[in-house]
Amino acid sequence: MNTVYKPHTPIRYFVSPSRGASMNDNFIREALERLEAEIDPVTRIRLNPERAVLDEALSAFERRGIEPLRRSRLLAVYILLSSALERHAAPLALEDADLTRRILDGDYLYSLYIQYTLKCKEEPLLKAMSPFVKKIQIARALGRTGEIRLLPVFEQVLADLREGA
Amino acid sequence: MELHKTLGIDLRRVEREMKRIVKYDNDVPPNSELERSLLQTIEAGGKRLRPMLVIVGSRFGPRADDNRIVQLAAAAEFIHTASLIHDDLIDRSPLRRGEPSLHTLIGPAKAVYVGNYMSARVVELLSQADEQAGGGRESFTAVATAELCLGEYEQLEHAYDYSLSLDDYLLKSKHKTAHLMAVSLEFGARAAGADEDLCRSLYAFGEHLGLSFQIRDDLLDFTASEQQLGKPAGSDLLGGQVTLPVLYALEDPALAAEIRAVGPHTRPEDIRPLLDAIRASGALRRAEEFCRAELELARRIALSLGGHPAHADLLSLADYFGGRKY
Repeated sequence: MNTVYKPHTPIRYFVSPSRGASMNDNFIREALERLEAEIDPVTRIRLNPERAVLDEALSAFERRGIEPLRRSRLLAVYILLSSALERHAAPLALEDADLTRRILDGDYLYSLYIQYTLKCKEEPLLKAMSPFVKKIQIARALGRTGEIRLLPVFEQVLADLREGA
Repeated sequence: MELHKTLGIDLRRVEREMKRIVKYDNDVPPNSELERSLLQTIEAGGKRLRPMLVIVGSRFGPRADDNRIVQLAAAAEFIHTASLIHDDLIDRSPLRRGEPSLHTLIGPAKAVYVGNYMSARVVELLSQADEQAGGGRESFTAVATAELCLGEYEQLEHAYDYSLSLDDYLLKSKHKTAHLMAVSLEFGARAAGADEDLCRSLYAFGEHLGLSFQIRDDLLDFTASEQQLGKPAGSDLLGGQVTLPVLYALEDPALAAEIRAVGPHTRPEDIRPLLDAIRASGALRRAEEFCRAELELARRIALSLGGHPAHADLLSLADYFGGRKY
């Protein structure tokens, strides 16, 4: 998927100083702070999403006319789901010393994705995303990795929900 | 008598529903390895406790006979089964109930995705249901298994940690085992339209029941045979799990020294005398008393719900959990 798995890197993310900081910097900082508050410390999970990926997601939110106040919440939801998928990305081998953590982290982040999406009152998004999340797992189980990209699906779902609203 | 018969639950209906959830998914190619793996996992069976808890919970609401309840019962077992598939990988366990575990058959990555599919399919099913039929936000919360993961993290954190406190042990056990049982009862009650106070009481009942279940599991590591357990006796101790009998045994200085010597490289044959010493120490009796006390608390909640005919089912559950031999 779109994030890089670096198990021991900190969640802190470089953003420009607040004066003159871009809108994206603020959305990203807010999203990561939200996630830092949500992730239980016992998990020791550190997220380190690529800046380019986050910018791409924020551009998609803008294209779909998402109100600025909602963007950091949606970005946090997106980071949780993409990170969960990333943790479980192949290869997964029994000899991998990180296998246990990767399985647990992926399961935990997916559960947190559900809980946090509900907490943000984004239940329609959770429901509309559910068939696609399932299809990603089916594609992976069938060895068709890379068949479904998350961001285009996420963007389409946001567009559909907006049209249906 | 078997529990499902005592409770008047047709488990075959639940198992048919589990298979139907797979077969009626047009996104799963027929006869694919994925479909075969899912059906094989379902057919491998299990105690099916969680579906029974969902159904018993539903009997406290006005819509207990709704067909939807059977689907939710099957969904609860999907969530549990998915967690077992991942647990086997985490424990690198080649066997499940004496048969090759799924990852042994299809490889670790595909096994992870089979488990993920089961969780994702449940979220999809709940998304298709309306609020009244179990599609409300509480249902999604019920299937989110962050607590289970926290229990696993806590277990990893405290492997071979002989300074573990009783509170840490109880927290880990609530996360890892009791929560899903409690939530299954609550989930069924909510879907059948039971009121909020009742749902909370059922959660509390399920939590005590679940804790007793975990302690019973802890005890079985010392008392059951390899054949009953599907793994050698003493596997928990050898794997660094500080269970309730071990916590009590650590209070004896002589035993504590021997227990503290158990580490990741200890061999099964090395702990046999220690297992016997723990069995003879009174630690098992104290853990048994704790287990009984939890069941007693569960029974008190069941009796407080005496106005509902289904409270008798809660008492049957408590009796079954108290007498479980493996």
